[in-house]
Amino acid sequence: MKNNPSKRSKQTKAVELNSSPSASQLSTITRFISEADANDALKQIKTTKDGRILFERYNLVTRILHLVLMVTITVLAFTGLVQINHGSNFGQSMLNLVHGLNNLQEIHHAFAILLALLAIIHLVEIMEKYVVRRQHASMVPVSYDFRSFLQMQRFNLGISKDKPRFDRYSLEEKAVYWLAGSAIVILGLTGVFQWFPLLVTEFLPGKVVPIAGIIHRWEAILLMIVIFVWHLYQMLISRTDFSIFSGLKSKEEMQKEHSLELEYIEKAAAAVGSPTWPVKIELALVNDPDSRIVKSESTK
Amino acid sequence: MTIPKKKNMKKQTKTFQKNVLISIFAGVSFILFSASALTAKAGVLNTDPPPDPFQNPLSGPTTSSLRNPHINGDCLGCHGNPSMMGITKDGEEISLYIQPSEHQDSFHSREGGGCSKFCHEAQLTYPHLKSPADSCPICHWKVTNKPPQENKLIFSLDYNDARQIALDTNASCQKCHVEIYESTTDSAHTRIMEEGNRFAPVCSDCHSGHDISLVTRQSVSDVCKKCHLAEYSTYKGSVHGSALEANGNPDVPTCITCHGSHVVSGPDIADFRAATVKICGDCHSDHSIMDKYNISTDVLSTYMDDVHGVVDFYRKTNFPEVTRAACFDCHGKHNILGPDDPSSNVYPENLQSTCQKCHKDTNIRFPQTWLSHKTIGSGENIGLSLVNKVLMLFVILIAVAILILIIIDARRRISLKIKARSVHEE
Repeated sequence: MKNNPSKRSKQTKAVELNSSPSASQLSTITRFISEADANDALKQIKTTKDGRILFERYNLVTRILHLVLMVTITVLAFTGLVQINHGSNFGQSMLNLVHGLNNLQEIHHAFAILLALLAIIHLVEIMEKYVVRRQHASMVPVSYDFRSFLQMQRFNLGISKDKPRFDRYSLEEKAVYWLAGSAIVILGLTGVFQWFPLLVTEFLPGKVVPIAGIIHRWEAILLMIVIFVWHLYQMLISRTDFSIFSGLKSKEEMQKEHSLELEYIEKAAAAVGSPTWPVKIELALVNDPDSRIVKSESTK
Repeated sequence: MTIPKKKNMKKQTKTFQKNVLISIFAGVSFILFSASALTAKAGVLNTDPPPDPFQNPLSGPTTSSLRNPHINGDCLGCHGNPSMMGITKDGEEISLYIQPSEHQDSFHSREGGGCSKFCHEAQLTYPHLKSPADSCPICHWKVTNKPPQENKLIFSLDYNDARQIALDTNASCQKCHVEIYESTTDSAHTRIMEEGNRFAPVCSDCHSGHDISLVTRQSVSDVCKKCHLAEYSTYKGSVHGSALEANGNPDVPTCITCHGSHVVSGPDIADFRAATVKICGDCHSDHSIMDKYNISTDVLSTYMDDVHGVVDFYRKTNFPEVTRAACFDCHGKHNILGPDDPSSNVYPENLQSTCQKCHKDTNIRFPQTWLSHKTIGSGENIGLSLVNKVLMLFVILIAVAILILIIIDARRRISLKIKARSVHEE
């Protein structure tokens, strides 16, 4: 990959290095971190009794919320699909199982409320973290994500031998988050429109209700594709990542999958106790030792 | 009356002569009897007493209008007499007269059934089981010297009232019509009978007693309106009823098309509510019927896909959602009219009040939430169609993009595995 430093964003700065023969250039990303960021990074580094270092990628609350979200989305998707396919043999047997569609809709509504609660908890959480405490937002796509995404495709297609370094989330994971997140917000709104048509028509023309129904259906299909196809492929097939359940990753796993994040955690944790905030840290972007891992994989 | 054949003539000449006399007599008496019956009927209407046929009953039928009632099976010998009356225990006077043509023209008579063969078995013997033995002096009044009053021969009946006769006789229908009779046990009519309404219809109420007949498309509403007059008059004004009344339209439903004939049911039964979608939908999704009247056949599918119909009333589910609106909740039960009729429930300006039947606080905009059986793709829902297409395109694009990324990723992983395996084998 030929990186032209003049076309980079303001945050990145090209630095000439000659570490790898396959790489022509290596750039860095500059990140200004707050004290809260540094403390969080330090908290993530855990040491086991036998001296191994583990990284806590997700804390307990996040893990529990994800578990609830998982169940909620599955139930909502299932009850929704039965409603779409109510006429099929499968739909009919499911309706029989819950003693009719009214009960099925009660279940759908109950889990929709649960999902709305989860969404509110999440919104409060990110507001507190990124607006009040002004911490680093790990889910916001930055220009580097797009470059690393394209580089990854080149690598996968065999055009380039350089594998990009991945931060906490890759662009594809961020896409899942934003697609699913927006879908959940839209599904919630259109769901309310259908649930309370009388209330809605007090303020809006009646046609919004069938339109909400159409949007609800398509957004639900989109969410199901994103979650059950893409997200599950990413986490179960492309790489087997259960850190959302265990919360922990070994240093080797971090090095292999999130080498940029690993570097960030180590540098941010080292900044704890700094007299001045924010602290500026620099992370190397491309042509990292990770590509050597891939090479060693292929020669096993 | 039969004339004996020639073989019998030689053997029984005396009998023959007697029979000839009897047959001549019978022929004459039949003509006179018919005349007297007609005059008797007319007499009842004109309060003119009929000629007394019992001037000398003990010495045999001296008057020409009387047949011998004691010949086994000649029921009309007595019941062909317009003067025959019965009095029930409740004091109700009922006529025991059967107009001869009534039964002769009926379906049963053509099939060769006599009175006591199937229906009136209990009345096979004299005096009839249900009549007390002291009924003889009513005809043979000379014995007691008590002439009949007002030319009426009044027999005491062992029934409480006229209805009981119909109810008791009704059981005899099941001897031949087993399946139909048993099917009526599920009927709403049978149910209200079991609840204690003795006037709930039995077989003879719809098919009549002696002049029994099949109920036809044309006559069915006449039968039902005997009790359900209010419903009939509403139906008569509906788009279905008016077409039937006007020109016997073969496409429109009659009473029994929806409610059933022998298993009658109504909207107070959950199963009937559930079945109505099929009842209406069967015709209204049939192109061969609807195209003639330029009526959309999408009504069933659009209903099924929309908020009321997703319930799926009529398929295999054992839990029909009786709380959801079925066809008749909006379109009316008997007063069904087209949507362009100002007095129709589904006329645009009446929709708000129609919706209010279930959605109590319906505002003026609420009826627009319902797409009036129009499919999303139809010309009247351009906005919806556009939203639908744009979203479909959006979802398809994202799905394709995801698929491409997965394929790219999977391809590399598979090739890595193959490479690793070949290295391992070497």
